[in-house]
Amino acid sequence: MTGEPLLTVRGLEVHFPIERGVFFRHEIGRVRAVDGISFELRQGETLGLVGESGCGKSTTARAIIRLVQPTAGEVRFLGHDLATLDEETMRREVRRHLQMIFQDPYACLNPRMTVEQLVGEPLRNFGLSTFGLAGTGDLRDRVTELLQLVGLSPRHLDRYPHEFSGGQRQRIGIARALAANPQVVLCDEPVSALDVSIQAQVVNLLQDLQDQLGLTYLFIAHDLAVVRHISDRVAVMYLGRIVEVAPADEIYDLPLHPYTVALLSAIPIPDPAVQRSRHRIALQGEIPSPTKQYQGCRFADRCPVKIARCHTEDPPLVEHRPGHVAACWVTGPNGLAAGAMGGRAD
Amino acid sequence: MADDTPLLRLDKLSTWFRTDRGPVKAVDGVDLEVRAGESVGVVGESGSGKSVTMLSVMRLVPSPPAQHQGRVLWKGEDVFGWNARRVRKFRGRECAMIFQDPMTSLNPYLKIGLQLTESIELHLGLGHHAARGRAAEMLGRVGIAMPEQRLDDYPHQFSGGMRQRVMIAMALSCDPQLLIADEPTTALDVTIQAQILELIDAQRKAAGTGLVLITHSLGVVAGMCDRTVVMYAGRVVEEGRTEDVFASPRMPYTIGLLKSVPRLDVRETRLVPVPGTPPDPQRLPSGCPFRVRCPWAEDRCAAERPELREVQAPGAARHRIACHVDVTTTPPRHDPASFGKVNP
Repeated sequence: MTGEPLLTVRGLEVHFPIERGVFFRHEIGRVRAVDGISFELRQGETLGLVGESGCGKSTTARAIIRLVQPTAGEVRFLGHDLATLDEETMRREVRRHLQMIFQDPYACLNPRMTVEQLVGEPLRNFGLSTFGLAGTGDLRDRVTELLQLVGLSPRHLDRYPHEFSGGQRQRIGIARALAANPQVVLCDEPVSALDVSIQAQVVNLLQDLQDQLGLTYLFIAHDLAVVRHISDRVAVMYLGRIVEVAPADEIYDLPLHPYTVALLSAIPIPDPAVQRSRHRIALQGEIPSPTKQYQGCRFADRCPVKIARCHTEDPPLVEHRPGHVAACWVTGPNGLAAGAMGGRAD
Repeated sequence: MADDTPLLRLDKLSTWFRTDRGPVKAVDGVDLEVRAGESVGVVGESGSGKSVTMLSVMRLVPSPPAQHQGRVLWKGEDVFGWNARRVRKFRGRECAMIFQDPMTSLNPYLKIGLQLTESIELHLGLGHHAARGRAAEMLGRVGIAMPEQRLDDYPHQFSGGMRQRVMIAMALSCDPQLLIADEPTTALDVTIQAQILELIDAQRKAAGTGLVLITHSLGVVAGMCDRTVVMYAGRVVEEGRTEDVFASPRMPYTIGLLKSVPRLDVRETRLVPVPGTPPDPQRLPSGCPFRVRCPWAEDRCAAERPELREVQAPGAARHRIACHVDVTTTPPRHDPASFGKVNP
């Protein structure tokens, strides 16, 4: 179901300078939000991007679509390098093929616009309607079609965002993203703000739309269970780096990177029999500040299986199994040795 | 106090708020018991009344403007009958609460030490010096390094996970008999969440403290609680041993919730969502509030409000549901998928 790379990211880096001084502003440090990551999005697939807050997953999406300016690296899409492309070409030729769904369905819709205006806005911006020439009929038809696509009805056209529930607003956000017929949709935590019983509705909708329209998704979330469910491949981020990329079927059964192992063990499973017999690995400490510079592995400070080399040499992403890469000096094709991570069952 | 008197008992507790559009019943006839040393998980979606229920227990919902009906019994004593002095002794000393947001529940102007020693001095009657010692001991117990020095730090000098540890230390500092934790880990990352939950569990077990854990995460309850209470639209809709509720849920809402969450250890091709949206508390449907989303709904569900009733559970443990239908013998009348994609 997945094919050629559609969007390729190479060495992407987003650093935010920390400045001091009033008359002589000078840089005193950098927040390394995204610090040299590479991956590719293949035609028709869903690539999941998971990690804890501050790991750089949202910044990655924002850098790809140029809501923030990358400080280095390249993003290849439709024959352009999005990292350096001028604003005008970006708007005219790229954005309509590359759209984004945002996390907060309350903040991402203008409260003063009706649903018709909200969903019609991208159509007008990209010159995809004959609005103004043949009246509004054409635009209204297309907006109606989009609303039906995301499970809303034409009678919602003239309503305002506050009249909708969170799940419905997220549907409006999705309709907006799909209005211009994009090839790639970046989904930034699209279900985290929704109630549990509503999350599944939106996840199913995203899957249906992908099947119908042949979309390619970059699906960002901190909930590994949701990510694994919807994705073909899962990339795990830690402190600005991708530490592991694995087929979704393999990541739970055979995680290779110690951080992935710990992350998986920390996620509770809603089944008392299973949950109470699991080995939990309590990671020591918290995620360090992204301003820190590293010579070696970023996870070494908290890693239960570190060796001397981890502090001095930065581990590259190595393909240990077909389609399964990890950045760790200790791991191998069969993962970490049983019991190496410690942990206990109770 | 006889041994079989529960620590905390809610007897048809209702709490409602007056609004311009009429009264809103946030809590609607909740029956609940917590025994000494027991851990009870209260799950439900936002707006299901789980927090207001527990805030009412702590007398933290001011009345008026809110109105209460029913009783809250602490070891048989009616909490609503207490004067301010008795309530102060109850809060913190006998029953402590941890709130969701560790960023806003500490006073940013005061040093951690002062905030910790305040309740220790008040409740345990210790002098300033002894109280500081106790505060440092508690900080050490919740895994904060160099506790004596950290007493002189302000909240902003702690990270989110560390602040929640301070809150736990504060809550447990006077050896309460019951700890109410309201979404204690929702604001935290998963690896930190695991640390905090283990800490609460270990501390609670060591001291024999009872626990009411309010959460929307079914996974958290599965791992930590002896009993599970499911709330919907201000009511308890299912209650039983955690094993029973998860292995053989009997209320359609619980069944729907469990099916709609993807599991890490099982790979489904498709989730089964609960159709529709959570109800508007001001316009609750007649009868059962879940009936408009329920695949089993029949005529009786609209006419008659289902009261909590006992059902047969394995091992003769108590298992109660608020539902007219027996899902073990009745097939669903509507296909959940046929509820369509459109939310009315």
